[in-house]
Amino acid sequence: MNISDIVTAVVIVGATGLIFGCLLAFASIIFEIKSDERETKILDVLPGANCGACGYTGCSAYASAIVKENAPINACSVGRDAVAKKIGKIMGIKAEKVEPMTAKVMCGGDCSIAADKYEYEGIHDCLAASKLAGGPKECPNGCLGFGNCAIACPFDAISIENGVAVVNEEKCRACGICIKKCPKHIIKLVPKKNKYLVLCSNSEKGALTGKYCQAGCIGCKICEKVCLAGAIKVTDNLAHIDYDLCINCGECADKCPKKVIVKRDA
Amino acid sequence: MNKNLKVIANGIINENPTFVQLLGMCPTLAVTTSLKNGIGMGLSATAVLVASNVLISLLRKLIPEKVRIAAYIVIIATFVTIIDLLLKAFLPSLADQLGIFIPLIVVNCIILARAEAFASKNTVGKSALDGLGMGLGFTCALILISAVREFLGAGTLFDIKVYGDIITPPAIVTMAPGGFIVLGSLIALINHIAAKRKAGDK
Amino acid sequence: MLNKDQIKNIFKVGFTLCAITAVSALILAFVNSLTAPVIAKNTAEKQQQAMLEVLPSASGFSDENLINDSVDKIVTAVYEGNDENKNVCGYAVMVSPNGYGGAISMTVGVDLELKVTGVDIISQSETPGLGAKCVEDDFKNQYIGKSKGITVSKSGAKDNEIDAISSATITSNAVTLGVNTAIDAVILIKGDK
Repeated sequence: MNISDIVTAVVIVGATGLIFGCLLAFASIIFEIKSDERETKILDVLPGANCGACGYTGCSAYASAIVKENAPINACSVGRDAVAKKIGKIMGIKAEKVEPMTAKVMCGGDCSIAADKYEYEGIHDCLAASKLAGGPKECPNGCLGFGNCAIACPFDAISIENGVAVVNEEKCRACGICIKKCPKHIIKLVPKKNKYLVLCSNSEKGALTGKYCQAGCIGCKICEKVCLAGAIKVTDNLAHIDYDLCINCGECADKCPKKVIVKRDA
Repeated sequence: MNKNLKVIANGIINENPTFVQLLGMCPTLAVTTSLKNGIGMGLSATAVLVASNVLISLLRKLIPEKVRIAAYIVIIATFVTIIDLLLKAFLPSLADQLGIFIPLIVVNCIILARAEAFASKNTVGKSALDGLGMGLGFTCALILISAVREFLGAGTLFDIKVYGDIITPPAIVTMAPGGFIVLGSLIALINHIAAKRKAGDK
Repeated sequence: MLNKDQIKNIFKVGFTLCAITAVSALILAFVNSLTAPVIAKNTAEKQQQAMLEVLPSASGFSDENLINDSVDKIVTAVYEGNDENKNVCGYAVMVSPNGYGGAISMTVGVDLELKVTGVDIISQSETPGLGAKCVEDDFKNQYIGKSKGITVSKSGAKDNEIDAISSATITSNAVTLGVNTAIDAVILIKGDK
């Protein structure tokens, strides 16, 4: 191999690199999508693992959601507080100011108090069971207890106790994966500052509910009457707490005849 | 020291490119017909992986975002060509047996994936260790698979006959269907063991 | 359309990639210069080995490739083989007929009586388990001792015939074509001398 061969190789390959480099740079300018530069900065500090534990389809989706939809900045379980702080700096939010949330399964109908409408013998999977006339529980909005949420949880924060799923608040990082997995859609995100929850998702008339579940909300509206802050309303036979208005006085839990409203062991 | 060992162990066990990440399946299926080829391919890929991880990590602040894929591929291709030339010159029989799969190391997902996910964001030292870990993980996987396939399918190990006079080894194990079945079975077995250990830890 | 900054950026990116590719080319050219002679030696040795195998009576071959325009295009080389006493004892022919999956690169040994002394398959991409069995001795050695105009028979090969590999007729025909063409090439070249 003589010098002229080497020079030819370097010139040709180098020239190819130059042409394509310029082409790529040019193309990126022409095809540029105007994006918020904060998004790019956030994407840079994110770990880039694209694991989905934050509840979004990847780091780019999460970065986009933070900038465009005010997604919580501490949802990254891989990066945790360190990343949350960095994101906070970029967005100008103090990381601590973000409302700590936890997922809660809004159903207290365990094996001892909730009736079944048929004996189910099939795959131990909530989605599969829910396809058979809504699942073996009489209550159409009850937790089926087969644990799809527990399996999906990347932090092992959910366990099945006596036939219903229960979230361990210390482990839960509010990533939202369980919420997507529940075929009954009865898992909700609750701010940690609110101490009281309506542990039921049933919207059938009270007379029916009372028959099949002793822990079901019957829509009697007593809670609505006693609430000091007007934070609890009954719609569709189900009590709902407005977490912004609730002052944690506990009157609703005291007066609920079915003991559906519970105090979280915070 | 312990932290460094952890990075290497990660590539061999927790995030093994073949059994956990399922990357680089094409060369895995093709070269695991004999133990010798498996080891040869594994070590060649490891060499390229470490070299490219180191270089890409060194240049990570200089490579512009828009041409990073082109740049990574050029760097990886250069190292693969060097390995190809060295093999053809000094180990020609191995080069013949591995054939077209040496140049295909360029597009082995493992190398580009580590370049993109790790080397472009970490220091040189860590990237080198990560490359070593992933490469060794790949090599271990190839050794395991090719040992099974060569033993069952040809009755030999390292071209030394182990059995074959009483039972004829089923040649299908060294062909494509056998490759898929052995690979799938091993992936299932290993992930099962890993899940059991995880459940045991809980 | 583009402001000065953008144009500067384009060239900066372009030159960075250019630098990376140029340096790579330089390194590769260097490594190549180191390994090319070794590789060439390996290839020559392999070829020499194959030729000795197909023409057992020879102990060496002359360097000159004797092919000319009248020889069939699939023949790439003909080398004269010499025995220990430096007398011509035969020829080694490199021929590449088209098989089922591409060209089959073979070496054929032909002695002075225009009989086949050996066939070696250097490279092929035939179907494994079927056409690829053409590399096995059982098949190749059929050609030894046969002369010009070998034909392929499905079973029970007679005098100047060989048995095809079952379910691999195309491969068998291709190899036979290669051997026949090699013999023809030797006839042409010997006739010229």
